[in-house]
Amino acid sequence: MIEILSASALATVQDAGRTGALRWGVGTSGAMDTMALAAGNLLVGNAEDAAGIEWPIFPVQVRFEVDAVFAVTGADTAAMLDTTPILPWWRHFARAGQILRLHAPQRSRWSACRAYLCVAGGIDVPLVLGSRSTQLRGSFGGFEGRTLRPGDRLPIGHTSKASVDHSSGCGLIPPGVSMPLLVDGMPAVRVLPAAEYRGYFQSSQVAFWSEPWRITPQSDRYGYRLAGKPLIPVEPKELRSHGIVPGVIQVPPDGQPIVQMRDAQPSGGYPKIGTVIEADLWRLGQAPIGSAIRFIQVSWDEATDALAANRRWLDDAARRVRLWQQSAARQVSEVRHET
Amino acid sequence: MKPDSLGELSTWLAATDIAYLELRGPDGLVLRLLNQSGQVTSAPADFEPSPVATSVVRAPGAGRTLLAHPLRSGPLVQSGDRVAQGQPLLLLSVGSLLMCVPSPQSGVVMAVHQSDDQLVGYGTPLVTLQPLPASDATSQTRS
Repeated sequence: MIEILSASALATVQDAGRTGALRWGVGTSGAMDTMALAAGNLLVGNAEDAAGIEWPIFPVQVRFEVDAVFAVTGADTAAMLDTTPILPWWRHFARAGQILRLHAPQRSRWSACRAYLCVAGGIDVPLVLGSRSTQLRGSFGGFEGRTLRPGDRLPIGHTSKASVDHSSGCGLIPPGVSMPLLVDGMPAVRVLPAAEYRGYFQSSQVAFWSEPWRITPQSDRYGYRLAGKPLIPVEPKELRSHGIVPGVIQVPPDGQPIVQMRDAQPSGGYPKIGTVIEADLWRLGQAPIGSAIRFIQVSWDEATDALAANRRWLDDAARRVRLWQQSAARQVSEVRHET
Repeated sequence: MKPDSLGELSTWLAATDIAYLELRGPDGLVLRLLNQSGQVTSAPADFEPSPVATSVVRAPGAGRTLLAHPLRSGPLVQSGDRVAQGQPLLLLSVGSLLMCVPSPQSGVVMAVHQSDDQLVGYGTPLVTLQPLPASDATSQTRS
């Protein structure tokens, strides 16, 4: 069990998302930064899509009630295990009773705002519609369908591996550092023009690609409200509500775009000017409130190439961590034979 | 040195864990003081301080050096830092994988022998430490 000690507003249990249920109006939910969640899971020996805890607000305190191998990925939160500072994006070992503390994200080399705690065995809450992600709108999934509160005790899945880990662990270089995407020094995401793109004035289209878009405080897991030059349609349109997915950039009448995020409702009627590509949703999920982003126009092929690049990063990381685990296990057995 | 200064110096020295202090003056005069459990005396003429014990921490395998974590700007350790046993001194990267070089014992970092992004092999000297008893060292990784 992991016990939540301090108030951790908006923290939720998330896995890679609930797919296949949009037909029933159930959105995907899932981690805002799926790369960080996957990397944390790989570091502790879980399947990539095991459930972890997403922390958007800090400070955070949790207690490990049992020995556990864990990792904290996403933003660098100057994490401490009891009184010892621990490295981010690293496989660590906690003894039963130790307390993990996360602090406000430090942004010296990568600007990020959400952290993920992955534990060997995963957070063992029931599967709902095939996923352990928290569906906040519907109040199901995750831990009792809600955000976490002090006193909550989260079960950890059984893991067959040895529970004690005396190695100094291993880490991964975050993709935010090794695969940066910047335009004029500003974090950027790749976007496909969407169905109503051609219905906008050319000046608006140019502004969409060339202006910085600021993430306003009215931004959360449901959607990011962006501020910038108003986008003007040639003819104001009202569409019937239709299916939308995370990444869709809608433009309400005020001309300020809204990017649908993980907990977006599955349908909407605003015109859509673009869609953030699936492969870059994690970048957007880590963009802090108050920061600005740029949009990069890409083609369908470039978007699928980007998905493949993410896949390659994850496969490479999985392979390297596996090799390290085998080598670390061999060293342990060699020491046992010598003594 | 004025007599008052000598008294102040002795009082200060007595309160530290420094066992031997050597001061060289501009005209070649040397002041040598011994501190034995708070008793400060002039060192005898034939006194030779024992050489400082050092320990060289070597790379446990091949990789590229990182003096700081990729997400941070400051190095993990610098010369003069007190480190605890197990505290990461350096990181080694092999592609996207990172391994750390933990301090084998508590001590003070005397020198870091590698700069960033150097390819090292098994046994390459990385850091020289002055081992110290564990009691005073608290684990501190720099950000």
